Amino acid sequence: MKKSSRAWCWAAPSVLLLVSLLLWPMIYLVRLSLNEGGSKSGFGIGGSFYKPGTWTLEVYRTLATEHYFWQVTWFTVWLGFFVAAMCVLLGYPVAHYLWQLPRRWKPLALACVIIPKLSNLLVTIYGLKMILGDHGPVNETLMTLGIIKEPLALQHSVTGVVIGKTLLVLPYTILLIWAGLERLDRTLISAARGLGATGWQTFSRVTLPLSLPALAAGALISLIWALGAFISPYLLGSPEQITLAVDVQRQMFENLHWPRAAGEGVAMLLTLALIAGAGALLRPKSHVLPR
Amino acid sequence: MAAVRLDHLSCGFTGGTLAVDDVSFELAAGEFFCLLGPSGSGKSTLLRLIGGYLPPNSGRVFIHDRDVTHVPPEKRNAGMVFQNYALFPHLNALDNVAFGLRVKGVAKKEREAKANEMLDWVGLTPDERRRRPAQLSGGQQQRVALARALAFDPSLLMLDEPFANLDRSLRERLREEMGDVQRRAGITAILVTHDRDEALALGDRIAVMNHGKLLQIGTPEQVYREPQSTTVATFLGHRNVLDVAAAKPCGLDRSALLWPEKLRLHRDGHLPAVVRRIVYAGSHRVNTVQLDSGLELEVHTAHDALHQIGERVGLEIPPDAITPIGL
Repeated sequence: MKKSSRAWCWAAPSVLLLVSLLLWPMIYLVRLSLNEGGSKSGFGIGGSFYKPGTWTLEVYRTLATEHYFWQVTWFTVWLGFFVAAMCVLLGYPVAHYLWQLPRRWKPLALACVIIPKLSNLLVTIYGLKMILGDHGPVNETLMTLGIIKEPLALQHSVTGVVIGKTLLVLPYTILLIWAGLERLDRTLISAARGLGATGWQTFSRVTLPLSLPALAAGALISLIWALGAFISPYLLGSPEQITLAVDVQRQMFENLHWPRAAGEGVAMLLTLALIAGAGALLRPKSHVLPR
Repeated sequence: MAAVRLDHLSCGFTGGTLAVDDVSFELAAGEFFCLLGPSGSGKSTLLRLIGGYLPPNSGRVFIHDRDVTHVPPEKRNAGMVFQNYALFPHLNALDNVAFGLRVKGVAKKEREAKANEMLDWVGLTPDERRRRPAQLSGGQQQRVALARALAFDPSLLMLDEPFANLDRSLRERLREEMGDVQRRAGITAILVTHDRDEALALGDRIAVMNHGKLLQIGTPEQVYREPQSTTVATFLGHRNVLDVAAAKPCGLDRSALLWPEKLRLHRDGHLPAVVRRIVYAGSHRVNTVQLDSGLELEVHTAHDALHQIGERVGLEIPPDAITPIGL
């Protein structure tokens, strides 16, 4: 009893932080989505953001039947799964390579994975815009080589969004899968080789099945991360194909309809909760024994 | 035809001393060979060199007269039992044993029949065969590892401290069973151990290693009764091992091994000594006596010869109690 209460003391600051900065805003978000929209007498500069003190399900009724909203939601989910798939497909081989590096190279390799995440997000994206632009090095090179005649639409398109978001999420995927592989007992690999398995057989029959939990965790984290995509679709995407996060911002600052923005926020939260829940339920069992 | 032949094999890790230093020996087919040495003596490294898990710096490895020095482990056809067994945690016992056949492309029916046969052999019940390694006891895991190492008909069985993680009674029982299994299979086996009793009990021949070097190789009896160096004698558990300096006050001119059961204590023995400790050992008493030179020796006495701690005695060293070391 005494011990657990002492543990509570140490946890209190972070619990307080989570409640005040996460739980409370979420409750506030739900409340906001239940307000009536736009009015001259409303709160805000010049009014018209929302009508305080009102209760209505109007926003959800609109969202449920509106083609535009479902289009945005569908694109967001599709983008999430696509980016997660890209991250796993690109990240697993990298993680596998890093795992096999000699021990003395690993700190350097770790730094290489993390460094892109240390630069400012906007700097990264604007750098990417320059690289992917019509007159950027990628298009210039391809045109000089005569592979293409017209510049590829690498930005202001889905391609740009996928490239940008994958670049932003990939380090997390790599780190998660790498950490999972590092927990694997290497004598199992030796054992498989000793029993006559080729390199590929060792990978497909031992390494891959044993790293499935890490792979699944990597995929889930990538998916959750990608579902909240804002900067990449905002700066690299086309105005026709936007994600929920971008639309929330639009409803808030361009359409000035706060209840609707809040309602879309709630929809995003529910989608994430649904996917995280399904992911937790379907997670492959870990066979890595505690050491 | 030699089952295994090592030709001036050396292996070292970057910047250190050699883990295996110029080792050569030959194993006859069907032989049970024990590599005995303290931890860090290079015995496990030597086993990994034979299995192909490590590349040697120099020297050659032959298995059944085939030069396998640069052949990867999967093409050496040598079954290995690892110290932690290295069973695949995602496969049940049966699939673990069948793994070697599966990667060779043996049909499911055939490989399961063979795996079941092997598991019959090591005595695992049908119920236990469906369990994953985490659900098996240490002894059961060890049996599965042994069955797995033998199931794909290897030409060589390698055992890396396979009993180290088991409790004493299980260790002794499995040790006997291991000997039986190896004899029935008629396979050449190499066992790495730091336990001299294990090596003496199982080995047709024993090689004693220290600091990467092969110190002595011979039958258990040869190695035990005629150690060629004080290191070997001490490592085999002999208590009265005298180096040249210690041997001189006893009237010997070279290092020697004194057998405690043949030494005698008399009032008129010619080497004055004091009894320091007496331990009752069932069939005899173990007296630790200290000579005037400071040297302590163990002397076994019968129960009718009762000495007291602190008693001054004379030690007699009959000629047959002395085995000279390093002829």
